[in-house]
Amino acid sequence: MATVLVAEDDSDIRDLIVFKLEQTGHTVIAVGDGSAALRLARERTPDIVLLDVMMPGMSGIDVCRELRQHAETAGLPIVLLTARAQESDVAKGLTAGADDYIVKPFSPRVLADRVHSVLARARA
Amino acid sequence: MSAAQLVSLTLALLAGSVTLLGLVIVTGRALHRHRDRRNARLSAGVRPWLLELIGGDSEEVNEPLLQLAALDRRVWRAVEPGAISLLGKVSGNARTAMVRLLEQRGLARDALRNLSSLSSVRRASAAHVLGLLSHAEAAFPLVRLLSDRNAEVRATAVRALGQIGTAGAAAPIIASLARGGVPFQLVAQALIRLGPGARPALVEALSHDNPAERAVAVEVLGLTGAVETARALVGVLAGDSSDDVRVRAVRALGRLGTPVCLDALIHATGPAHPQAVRVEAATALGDLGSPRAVPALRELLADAHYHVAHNAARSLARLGRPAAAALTETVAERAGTPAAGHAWEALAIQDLQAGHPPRLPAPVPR
Repeated sequence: MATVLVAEDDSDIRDLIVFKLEQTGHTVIAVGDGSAALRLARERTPDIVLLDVMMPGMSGIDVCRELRQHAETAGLPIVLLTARAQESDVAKGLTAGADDYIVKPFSPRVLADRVHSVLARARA
Repeated sequence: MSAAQLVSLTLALLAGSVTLLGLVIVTGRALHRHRDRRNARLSAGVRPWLLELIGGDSEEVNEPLLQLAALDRRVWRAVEPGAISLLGKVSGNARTAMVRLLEQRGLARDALRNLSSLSSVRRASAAHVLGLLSHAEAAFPLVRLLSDRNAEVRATAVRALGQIGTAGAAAPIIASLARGGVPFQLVAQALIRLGPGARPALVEALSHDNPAERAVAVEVLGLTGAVETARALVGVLAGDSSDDVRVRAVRALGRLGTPVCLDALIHATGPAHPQAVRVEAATALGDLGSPRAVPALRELLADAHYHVAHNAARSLARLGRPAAAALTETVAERAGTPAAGHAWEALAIQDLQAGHPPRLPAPVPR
């Protein structure tokens, strides 16, 4: 099982992700903005990071880019959460170094499976 | 009563009224805060069940569903807004479970009743809920709501009909543009969600009197890749009385990309067409992506209209090797002309986007 850092400003979605990932046995650190995510990613070195693309202040893509630029966080698996209307941002996110993305609205079960498979790929 | 006494009495009444109003406001706010705190407390107690309902695996949802379905009315009223909010954020089994709960709590029944409420807020809110639930039985009453006196209600009904996805609603959704107040993009999005079943109504709308209805039909046919309607769209490009509709037809043909589209777009770059149509056609030929467009676009590099020539150059830069050769030759052969400038700019942007400096030296104007 893994430590998952979740950055999502919508409390409904954040609570749901925390619930689902904890249910599948992960330890979850959840924050509501990009700056806090960046700080915690450096302090706590999670096994995987889930970033909402559209957050106040630093966007998920900005956080992704920052994480990739520092040696201690450059190898972290990163999954982006994006609304359907922002799908054009997916290419930007993947270019910024994200490993995968999930489109909202999402199925919690599919989210848990995607986290599992990205973690498995990273550990292989 | 003397004048002084009358003034004093008026002032006293005024002061009394102000004090009373102040008390009403303060009491109202206090009650509101109290109710919010109580609702927050009640819903916080039930939230784990909601999360278990939508976050659990399908075999695990029966227990939270039973608990939530059995909540007393007072608690449910505190929980309901959060449940509705969550419904729009999940898909798959999570959404199915939430819809089951909300249907069991009678949300669809109440919303159907509220569609005829005297309050426009209630009508709009009911339409919103029925859309979120994708409640198929609501399609007909929602179509009736498209002629509501309130524009917000009409707009919400359009969105809800798109979410429900009943193709038969396409014609009334298109017609909702005639009355005004419903945003064009909202209508387009709703029609896209109806899928291929909406196409007959969209083709029919190409000959409507209202240009906004023709425009939305053209836009949606292009966005949904309705290749079988390409000839109809060519007809719109050739003969529609509205430049806006013709420009949209050009864009749609560029997206559809069939051979009939290519010929129509090349023709649309000709001098007989309005400038706006020619400018868009120069771009659409690049969207379409056929090397057959290269000779026509190469000629357009020398067009007197800046945007036609500029867009033609950018389109050539997207059409692969023969088009890149046409740009390079134009830079060399027509040095000092605007055509060479457009060609050089397009090549330079292409190089910069690929991460290296422009391959050709900047032209020197004569």
